Formats: sequence, structure tokens, C-alpha cells
Amino acid sequence: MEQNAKGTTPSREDATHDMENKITLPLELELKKNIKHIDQLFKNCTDVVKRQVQIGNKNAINIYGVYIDGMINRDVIEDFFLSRIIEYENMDDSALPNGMTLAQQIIDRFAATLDIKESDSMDAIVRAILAGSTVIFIDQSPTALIIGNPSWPTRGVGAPETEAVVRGPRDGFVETMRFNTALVRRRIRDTKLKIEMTTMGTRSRTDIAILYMEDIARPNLVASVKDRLAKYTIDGIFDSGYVEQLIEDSWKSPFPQTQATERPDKVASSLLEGKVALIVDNSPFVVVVPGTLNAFFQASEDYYQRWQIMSFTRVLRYIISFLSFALPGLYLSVLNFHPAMLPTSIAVSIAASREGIAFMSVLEIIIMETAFELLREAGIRLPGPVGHAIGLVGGIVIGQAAVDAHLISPMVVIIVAITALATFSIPDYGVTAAFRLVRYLFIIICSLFGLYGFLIGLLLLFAHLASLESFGTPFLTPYTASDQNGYQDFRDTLLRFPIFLMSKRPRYAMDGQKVRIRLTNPESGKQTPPGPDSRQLPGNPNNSENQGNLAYDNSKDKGGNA
Amino acid sequence: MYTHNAKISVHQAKILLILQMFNMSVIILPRIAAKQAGRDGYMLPIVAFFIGSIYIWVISALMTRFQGESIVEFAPKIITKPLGVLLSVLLAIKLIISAGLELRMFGEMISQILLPKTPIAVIILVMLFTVYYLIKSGIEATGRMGELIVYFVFGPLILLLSLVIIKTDYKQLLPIFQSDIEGFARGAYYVSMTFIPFEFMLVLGAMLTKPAKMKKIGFFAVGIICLLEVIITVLTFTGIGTIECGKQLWPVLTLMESIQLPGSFVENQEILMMLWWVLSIYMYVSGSVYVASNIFSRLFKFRRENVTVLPVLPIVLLVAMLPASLVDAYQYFIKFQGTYGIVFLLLVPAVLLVVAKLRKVGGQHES
Repeated sequence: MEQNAKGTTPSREDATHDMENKITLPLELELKKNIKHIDQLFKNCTDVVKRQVQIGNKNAINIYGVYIDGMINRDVIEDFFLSRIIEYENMDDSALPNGMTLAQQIIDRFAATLDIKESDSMDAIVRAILAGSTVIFIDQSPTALIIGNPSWPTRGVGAPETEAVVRGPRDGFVETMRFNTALVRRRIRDTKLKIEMTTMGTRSRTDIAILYMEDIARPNLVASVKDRLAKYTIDGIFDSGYVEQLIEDSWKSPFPQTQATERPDKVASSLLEGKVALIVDNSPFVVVVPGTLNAFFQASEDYYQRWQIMSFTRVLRYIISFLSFALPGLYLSVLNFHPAMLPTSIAVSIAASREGIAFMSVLEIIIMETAFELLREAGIRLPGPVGHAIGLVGGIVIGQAAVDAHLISPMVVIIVAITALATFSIPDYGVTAAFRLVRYLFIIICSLFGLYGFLIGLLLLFAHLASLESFGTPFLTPYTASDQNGYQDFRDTLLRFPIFLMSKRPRYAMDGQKVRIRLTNPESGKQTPPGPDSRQLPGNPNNSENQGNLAYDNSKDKGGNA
Repeated sequence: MYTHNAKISVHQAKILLILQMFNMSVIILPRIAAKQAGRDGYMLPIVAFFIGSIYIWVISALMTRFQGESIVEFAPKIITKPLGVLLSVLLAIKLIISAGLELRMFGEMISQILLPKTPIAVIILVMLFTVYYLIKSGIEATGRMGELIVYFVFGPLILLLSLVIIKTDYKQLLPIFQSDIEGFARGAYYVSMTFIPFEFMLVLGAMLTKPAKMKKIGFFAVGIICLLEVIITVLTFTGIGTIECGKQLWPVLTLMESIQLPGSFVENQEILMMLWWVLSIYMYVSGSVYVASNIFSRLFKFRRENVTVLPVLPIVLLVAMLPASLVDAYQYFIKFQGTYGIVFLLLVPAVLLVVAKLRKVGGQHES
């Protein structure tokens, strides 16, 4: 992957393409020349179907259709276009009313489809063919017709595999971008949901949809997303993971700074909070920015069940995430440096279980952790039923055998097992992976400095997290910069407050669009209409009027992103 | 890749100051309070608050006059460039010495309780690396770190103190008003030295998002700290006795060791007890080193503020290794802060303020 800044791009300039891999050939008036161009461009491309057809009996005109086999719906082109036009008798220009061009006449009279347009750019035409449209070149016409009839093999909408829920919608994103935009649009039936398109990849020409709520997302966030996407010239984008890594703030961090999700409901709710979503064609994972640590601990289900139980689950998640990276290190610290901290009975029990073990405790932990990573990797690569078998064989048989053979102590098996369970209880896979890596840092530093090392590890981790930002938002928001939204964002953190108390949007949302739940006045029966809450806008004398207990002090929302 | 804005919010400044002052409080109090004012020692923070108000008023007035500027920028304008530069360098040196001595005491404590076989230099080096890792990311990271750490420092502290509050024998504080005025005044002055971290504002004030709120920040931080100091002193006096407080180096830690957690799984709990103090020390040392390195980067007009962090660290390590023992380090620290603490907390800002007013520099005279 090379960048423009270095003077080279992933493509080379040639007779038909420029440095950006755009086609430089013009669209000609003569059909023969256009056919020659298309033949030149699609040489040795056996999947391309090309055919010249003569239409009209008197003053017959030649047209030339091109599409890629397997990427279009042939019924549309054959039944609703060709079959109608081919029988028409007179294609003489003199028959055209009010100076209408031939292309316009065809669109108006013969095309029984709405998705048809003209184009005079050979680059746009060829890109349309490659994207699954049918192109009709017309002899002596300055434009060609693009009929949008894409149809390719797709996977049906199914349940998200990595974000399953007990209660909540079961539909998940798929590889087809249009299906994914539809899944979000179904949830937000508002014209202010904007879906802007861009492409990335000079060769893959991957479509990327930028989704945001026009009146909720901050304009500088949307602009920042577009700027970062435009910054790179890359040959191909094959998953949203590429985009995620190109636009994130810090490439050095193991922590993801954007959120990847398979759930349309999660994306819809994020958009209503003022975030921006990126749907990348061919990827079932949608990228949501900005990504904060708190968001990685939130699951969709948290909002669909009662707040008490979900608050309990949240607290549990934070505790187990701590265990997932800290437990082996803590075990090593106490065992090797501060055994006096343990009650005598437990200390004796651990010492007895370690009797006859050949390895140092740190080696034991590293061996077991590595073995676990091995099993995890093997379980993913192997087909489902075999993968489960590997888990059983690895966990029970090998673990038990290793203990019996005095290679490792039973305590280490327990520690690694708890750590493994904790790792997979965090809702976001990206953070799980980061914690897995951090765990090794803790193992090393605790084996060197005991509890002091553990504390140093914690400080390094906190310092690292404190230094991270995602699109201008501190990664630790709302635990840091908590005053920026009047401490409102705390209501959806460690504890999940009742829905009616989470009446304000988080800090990402634009000023003047902070209220998301309103109350009906029981006396007057009046309800504030949806849309921007004008009473919140700065400078409005009615700012605090009728706000009741949902009143919001807008002055607290200033002050940069310190 | 995408740079930070080198700003610190009012909320973050308050928290940073509270954490840094809290560390000083644990070191100085309640030993000094017991030595200087006996049973009345717990009243010292109340008087110290009024002394602290003078520091806050002077520094805030100066910084408000030169909004967005640090001592490095405004001192040369007020008292000529050579003197201004000299003052800035002296402040940096003072902060480096404070950080070094603090680190030495910290290293000795860790060595005694956690790592008896590890050389102190290694313990200090590891801590310095951690400090470097934080402050290289700038003031935002430090501010956010404070916001995060505050939960871990004060959460366990409140829990522990509430355990002590129930059991304590308050009769030990009686009779009141038994100390002599001179000792009381000296004690109040020493306690006011716990507000020394407010001198960081001579540099950090330039990075505040709302510089006009510095006075509010100061009073909030000092007020909270005074309240904490009164509570801690009362509980330590009643928990381990006033005479014992005067003998112990860090009576607060002795008090913590004496607490029995109900149904506790952990033995030798003093190890856990000191963890929260380490966090507070970390924030103080980070603040000192950051401000010192920032002074140098401003003096040399470096575009990247963090290039001077690394060169400062060996000097801090060198200072930390100078004292012969924990007692030496403690004595040096108390003497150094007691003697020179007032210089940048009151004397220098007051002189600069007066000269600036006389010479009509800064404020509305700035064009």
C-alpha cells in the first residue's frame, strides 16, 4: 500500500487509465469506436456479455449492450427494456418531439424501469458495468444509458454471530451494502438520516456509505470522517477492518478506537446519539465513530431489559474485564512476592498443589495461556462440531493430563480458565483482543516486580487509555471530561439508569439537540414537537421555560475536548 | 496522528490539584500537626485555609492579568528578560528537587514494604518511566488520568475512613485550645505548605480552557483538601494517639494498617492500603516533572512540548539518589518545602504582581 504523498499510487498510468486508475478514454459519438474501447478495456474478461442490436425497421439504429454475467438481473434488461425497444418501427430523429435526444426518448418511452440514467463519462460507464449495471451505447448519441439492475449471489439477513442477544432484534448486517443501509433506514424513518456515498480503492472501487443524522451529528465529526477517508489512496478495500485501521487516531494502540458492530439496532441508536456510521460494501461489520471504551462495554440488550439487571450485568462486565487482563499477574505477584498476604490455609493449599512442579510459576502461566490461545485459534479455524471437540479435548483432557503429569499446578488451570471465561464475556471482540495482549504485559511486569509491578502496569494502562482520542473525543469519555455534558453521560456507564432518566444525548450530539426524551404536560396536554429543541439553543430567552426536570444547562457543553 | 489541543478543563484542574495536594497532606500531616499544636492540631487546616487563600488570590490575580501566558512568558515582560528567564529556571529546578525527594521517599517505602531485595534506583526508574509515559502525551492525558485516578484514590479512602469513624474515641481530642499561639501559627504555616502544588498553576494556568476561573479552582481544591485534612487529622489523633502521631513518620499509614476489614480475605493489608497513596504520589511527581519540562520547552520555544521530558528525568533520578536514607529524604523534603515552598507560592507571584501593576504591564494595558 503506497500513498499519494510519496508520488506513487497503487495504480500505474497507461494509455487507458490515469494515476488514480480512472479511465481516460472518452465516450465517442460513433458506436464502433465505443465498441473498440470496451473491447480494449474488457479484453480477456470472459464474464462480460456484449452484444450489438439493431432497433427500428425504418432508419434503424444500432445499440450495444454490455453487462457482467452473474451481476445483473437479466429479467429487467430483457423483459422491460430490450423486448420493448426492439420492435419499435421508427427511430428517426425527426420523430423526436421538442428536440428530445434519442437517449431521452428511449428512457421516456421504452424503459419500464425507474433506475435508468444517462452518462457521458466513459469512466462512470465502466464503473457502472463493474458495479452490476447494464450499459447501452447508442450510435451517434453523446450519452450512454446506465440501467441499474444489479443482482448477485447474496447471503440472506441472519442473526449476528458475534453479538447474540436473548432479547432484541435478530437481524444482522450482511455483505451487501444496500441491504445494510435498508436495515438502518427501516429503523430511522427520518429524512434527516443522510446516507452519503464514496468509494475507496482504485481497483476494488469499494462503495462506502457514510451515515449520520444531519441535525444531531456534529458537522466537524462528519467532515473529519470524510477527510480521513479521502486521505488515502489504496488499491483495494475488502472489509470495514481496512477502513477502521486507516481512519483511527492512534495506530500504535492495541485498543480499537472505532466500534465495529453487526447489529443494525446498535448502529441506529448510535446515529441518534450523534455518531457517524460507515457501511463498507462486502463487509457485515459496520464501523461507528467515535469509539469510546464505555461504548465497548455496552450491549444492545442492555436497553431492552430492566435497568436493575442490566446495571448488575454492566458492573459484572467491568469486573470480569479487569480479571481478564489482571488475574494471572495478580496470582504471580501474590505467589512469588507477597505470599504473606494470603490466609495461611490458602497459602499452604497453593504450596501443596505446586509441590513437584518443575516449571517456575511464570512459565506455567505463560505455557497455559499460550496453550489456551492455541486452542482458541484451532477452535475458530476448524468446522463447528470439530471446533467444539477441540475445546473439550484441550480444556479437559490436556489440562487434566498436564496436572497429573506435574507439569502445571491445578491453581494455574483454574486461573487460566477464569481468565478465558472473563475474556469472552466482554461484548466487543476488539477490546477483548486488546485485553488479551495487555494480559501478557501484566504477566511479565508482575513476575519482575510483584504488586508494585501490578500497580505500574495499571498506571501504564490508564496512562495509555488517557492519551487516546477518537475523532476528538477522549477514549475514556465519560469517565474523563465528564463535566462536558453536565455529568449526564454517567447515566449510561457502570450503571444503566432507567430509560426515562437517560433523557439527554451524549456529548457527541450537536448543541441544541441534547434532549431525546420529552414529557407531556399533564395539565395542558401539550407535547413539544419532535425536531430541534429551539428552547435549548443559546441566546433563546425561553431556554429554561417548561423544561421541567429535563432542563439542560447548555453552558456546560462548552470548552473543547480537554 | 491527530494532535491534541494542549488544554485542561476547569474540572480536570480541580481534580489534579486535589490529588497532588492530598499527597502532600499525607506526607506532612498529621505528624506536623501533632508536633506543633498537640491535640489542637486538627484545627490547623482551618487556619491554613486562610493562609492558602492568600496564595490563591495572588497567583490567580497574576495569571488572570496574563491570560493564556505562563511564568516563562510574562516574567520577562515584568522584570526584564534575564531575570524572568532566571526565575523560570529556578522554578523548574525547585520542582525537579521536590519530585526527586518525593520519589526517593516513595522508593524507600516500596522497598521496605513490597520489594526489599530490589535496588531503590530500579524502583525509582520504573516509576519515572511510568511518569514519562503519561506526560509525553501532554497535559490532556495528565488531566484525564487525574479524572480516572480520583475514583481509585478517594473511593477506598472514604471506605476506610468510614470504618475508622465508627470505632474512634473522640474524647482523646479533649481538652481543646491547649497549644501555644506560636506553635499553632508555625503549624498552620507548615500545613499551608500542603497547598504547594498550586504553584503548578504558574505554568498550567496558561493551559486552562477558562483562565478566569482559576480562583474558583484554587478555593475549591484547597477547601476540599482542608476538609480532608481535618478529618484525617482527627481520625489519626483518635486512632493512634497524638503522642504516637508525633513519633511516626507517616501516621496516616500506621492508622490504615490498624484497620481491620470485616471478613477480610487478605492479610498484611498495609500493602493494599498504600496503593492509593502511590497513585497520589504518581500524580504529584507527574505534575512536577511535566511543569518543569514544560518550562524548558517554553524557554527554548520548542514546537513539541514533550521533547524536554526525557532530558529532565535523569536529573530527577540523580536528586532522588542523593539522600542517604528514608529519614534523610524526609528531612530534606520537609526542610526544602518549608523554606523554599513559600517562594513560588507567594513571594515571587506577589513581587511580580506588584511590579506588573506599577509598571502597568499586562491586564488592560496589554495591547
